[in-house]
Amino acid sequence: MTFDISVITDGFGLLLAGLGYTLLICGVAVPSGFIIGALCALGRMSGIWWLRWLVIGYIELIRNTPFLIQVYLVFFVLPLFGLRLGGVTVGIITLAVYCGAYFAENVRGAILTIPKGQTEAANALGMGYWTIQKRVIFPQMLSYLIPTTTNLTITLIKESAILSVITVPELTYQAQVVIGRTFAPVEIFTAIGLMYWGLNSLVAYGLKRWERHASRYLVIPKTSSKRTVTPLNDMAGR
Amino acid sequence: MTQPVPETAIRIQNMQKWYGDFQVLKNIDFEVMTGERIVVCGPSGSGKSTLIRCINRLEQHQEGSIVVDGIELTDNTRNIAAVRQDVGMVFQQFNLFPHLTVLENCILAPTTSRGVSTEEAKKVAMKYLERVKIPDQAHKYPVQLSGGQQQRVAIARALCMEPRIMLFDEPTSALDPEMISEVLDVMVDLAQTGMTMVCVTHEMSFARKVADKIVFMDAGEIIEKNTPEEFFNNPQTDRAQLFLSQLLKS
Repeated sequence: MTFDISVITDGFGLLLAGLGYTLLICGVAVPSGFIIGALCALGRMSGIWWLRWLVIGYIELIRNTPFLIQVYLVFFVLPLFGLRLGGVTVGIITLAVYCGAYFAENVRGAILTIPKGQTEAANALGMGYWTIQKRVIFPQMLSYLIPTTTNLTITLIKESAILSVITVPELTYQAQVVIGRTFAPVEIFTAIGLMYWGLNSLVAYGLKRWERHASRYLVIPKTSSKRTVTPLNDMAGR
Repeated sequence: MTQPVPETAIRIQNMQKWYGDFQVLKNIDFEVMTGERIVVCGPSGSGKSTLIRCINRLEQHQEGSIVVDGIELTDNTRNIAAVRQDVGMVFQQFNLFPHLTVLENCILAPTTSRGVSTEEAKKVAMKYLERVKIPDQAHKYPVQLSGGQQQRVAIARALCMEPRIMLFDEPTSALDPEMISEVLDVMVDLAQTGMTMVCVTHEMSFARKVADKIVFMDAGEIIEKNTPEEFFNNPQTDRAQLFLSQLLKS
């Protein structure tokens, strides 16, 4: 078996365009999903019973059905109601709605890890509800939330490959186009595998740095211990 | 010449509170005058903490009335906000905001809920951090401080809102014995400035030194209100006698 690298270099422009779409779709869908999730988490924890049940219904429906089926349903059902959206728009909407359900549970978990005393202290100081959420709860949540968000974002970038079935010109779709022309699946799938790996590694690295920054208050700085280092020339004399 | 009549800072009348079917506070009647220092004591589970948490509406009472600085505590959120602006609270577990430095902890509430400028809030914060003898720790995070230091920051943070009344909910119970005195010293100092204080504590030396009145609670009821001298030397109820004898034994 030969591994023809020129197949990759010839089709690299298309693959790069696909990577651009993957970035665009995930770049819009993941933050949107986070906002949906955060609002749903607050809804689920609110005292309004019908809102709680609405949110629970949404989370259970999305989590317990395959993403592929959700994509097909949105893509084929919306036109029946006269709503014709492009593949990219459908991709962004379905991915945002899909990850919103997971983010909702992640955000709820992070809120629950903040001790009740934090809200009580802020209440006792006369701070309002939204100020407490923004200045007290949210910044503390981040150190709990970023690791789970990293996992979810990486999963979503990989899941975005499913959007190729509705002709969204993202990375996997473009790979199939190149394979159709070159009949070289091994080279092309290896190439896009590496591209997904590179993208996810960058995302994980960036989020790890953010996590370290957001959690800096939890780390007790080490007291400067004066280590005596023996100079090399001294050691040479021994 | 007539003496000025002291103002009532807190008035609680016939207050009742339940958790489900369980009544935690029964027929609570008590009054705190401006500048008065009250120590609330009693065995665990007697409702002391619940009582002072009702004063700034961290807990809701179901019957009776609580009036703080002339404002009645009801479901009216404006009233609750107004009372909380006037009443500072110090908790057993300090409850400092761990993601903020000591100085940021102190300026957060004045800048966000009182509209004080950051510069002005910082000046006030440093004044109170000096009063609690901790100005050199202003730029540290709570995790870098000892328990006693954290509790002193919590006191300074509450004082930054310039409250007229301070509530202390077992402020020394979570501290090592060595750190208790540094917090009590700050509280004694605060009492000497004429601050109205309600303290739930088992620190009887503190009670003897600063309290104008001791309120003894058992099973959700106030069963004795007395001056410290009378309470320690001549407790009127058997329950208070038993409590004091247990406390002295330990």
